[in-house]
Amino acid sequence: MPDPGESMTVAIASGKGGTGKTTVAVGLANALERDVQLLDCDVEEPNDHLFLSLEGIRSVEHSIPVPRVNQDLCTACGKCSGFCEFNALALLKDRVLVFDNLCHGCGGCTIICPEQAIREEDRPTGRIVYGTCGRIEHIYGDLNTGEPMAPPLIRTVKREITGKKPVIIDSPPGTTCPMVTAVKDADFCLLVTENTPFGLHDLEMAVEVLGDMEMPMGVVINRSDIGKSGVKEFCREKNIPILLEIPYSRTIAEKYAVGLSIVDAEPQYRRKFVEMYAKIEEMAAEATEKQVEVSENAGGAGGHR
Amino acid sequence: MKQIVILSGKGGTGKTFVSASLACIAEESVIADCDVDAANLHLLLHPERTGTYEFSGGKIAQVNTDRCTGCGLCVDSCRFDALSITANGQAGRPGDAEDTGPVKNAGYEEKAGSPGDAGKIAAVDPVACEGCGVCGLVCPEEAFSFRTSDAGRWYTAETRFGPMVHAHLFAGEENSGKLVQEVRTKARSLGEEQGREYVLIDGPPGTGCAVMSAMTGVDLIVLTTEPTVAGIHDAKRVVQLAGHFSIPVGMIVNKSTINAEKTAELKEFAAAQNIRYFGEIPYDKRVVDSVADLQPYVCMHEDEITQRLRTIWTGITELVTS
Repeated sequence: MPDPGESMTVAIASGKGGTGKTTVAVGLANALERDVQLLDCDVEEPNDHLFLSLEGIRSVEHSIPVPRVNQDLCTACGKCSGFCEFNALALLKDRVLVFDNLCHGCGGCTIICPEQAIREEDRPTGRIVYGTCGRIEHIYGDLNTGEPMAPPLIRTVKREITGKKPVIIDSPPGTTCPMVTAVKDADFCLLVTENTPFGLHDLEMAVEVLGDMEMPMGVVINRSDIGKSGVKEFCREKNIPILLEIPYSRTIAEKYAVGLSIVDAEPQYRRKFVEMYAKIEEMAAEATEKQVEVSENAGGAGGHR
Repeated sequence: MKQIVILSGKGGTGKTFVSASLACIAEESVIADCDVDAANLHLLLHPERTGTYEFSGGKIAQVNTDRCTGCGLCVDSCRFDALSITANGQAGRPGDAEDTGPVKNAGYEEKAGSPGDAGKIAAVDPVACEGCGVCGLVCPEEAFSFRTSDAGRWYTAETRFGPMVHAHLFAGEENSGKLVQEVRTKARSLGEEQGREYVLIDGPPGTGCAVMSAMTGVDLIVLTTEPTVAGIHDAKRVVQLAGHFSIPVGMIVNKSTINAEKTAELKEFAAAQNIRYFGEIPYDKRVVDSVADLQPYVCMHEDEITQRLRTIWTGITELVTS
């Protein structure tokens, strides 16, 4: 187990969209001034790269396997279409039709086909883009237009984690499958919210899902002086630390509009982000210690239940 | 009946603020909140619930711990990294170990290496499981069964502006597109029953599954964007997607005064793409305050912004009825 500080993964998430995930993710990556991996897992709308002057950009196609039926071998027995949970295969009178867009790429049809009439072919669903900006190694997923399935691409982006330097993951909004796929396995999750009823409502949902995942978390309140909704009271009640408040600033908003990072707009945030990161390291380490204790206790009990 | 969806690509550009205000101005619409991941419109419209419906999601694999021999065939076959072989200690609670961070736990398990762990066993990570059934297919012991997840709720309701359908997809669930379809189907049937003229759809952010479900078959996409690099980048993706489905698009620029140049850029983009420019709304703290007060903006203020929203609605109705 490497020292959590060396290879800690922090996910930046929010229930509501547009609360400032990108601002915080890019700002933090910039402020750390050390080698860091910044992964943009909001593959439907990857935006981090708009705020980085990337060099050495290259991209790799991302595909998922989809079935191709050899009609000469197919007996139209219907086993594959009967098995497919996603209705990606339809049985016609004498052959099987494939709907590529519905296929999740599980490979079940190739296993179940008694005639071995199904092989798989890669179908591109997006690309993974690589680049660097100073000490930031940036990797993002870019889902093709009209492509419904984000999670496979998110998983592929996350496979780029080397474990050799700290990782910051910018996650998609919401609290459902794509968000969970992005934050899963992180050491800490930073929730960016705003002090509006929308912000609070969606924060509550995000806290619920992270609680289920037993993930340590903290909150950043963006545009903290605008609105009034009890975000702070909620955090106090749930014992979630508020790690940073960013009051509304016309300068930040204007610089954001043209693709400049918060730490360039208002340099004092460099120090604030560094301090916040130190707190996160402490909290993640504490959470890890707790898990060790739990794990040891469970081991000592010799397998409860 | 015409269907109009409010979309943005980027989150936080003001979809819900615009939707609530248009619902108030329109007076003859049925309202559908299709941001089922993070539904907010009900916070402004205060619907009175008339019906609650269950939404069941996909299947999730379960391991019969008595049958599993820990052979690992399922782990090798799972394309979604949803299965792992865990030590006996975790076997009573399949899935839990993975939920809380498999990397770390796996490390500890190996270190803990409890001596009596001859009975290694498969565990399912319910979050990663897509319910494809491959594990059940390859398991020689028939140790897998599948349960259907209780994935969310959707509601019918009445508001002072008309009937409303909204939903809540539970945390970590997938199939948001399917739930969006349910909401839209119900909204349409309510609208037809009550002779409404419009279905007004508050859409989800992004360009994925849920967005596609929210836009298929609509008469118009009202793209609500903001003059920032991210706003423009994402708005273009929505336009591209709309092109895929050949759906007409109109544009509103919200918070237009944040950056006049970017607002002009959006306006030019609209003209070049043959997108009707419905108008712009200046940045104003009172818009945020109206959300804090849990009211549609136009119900609270009789001012320039309200006037602009009325003009925007007139533009929308002209376009969909022409």
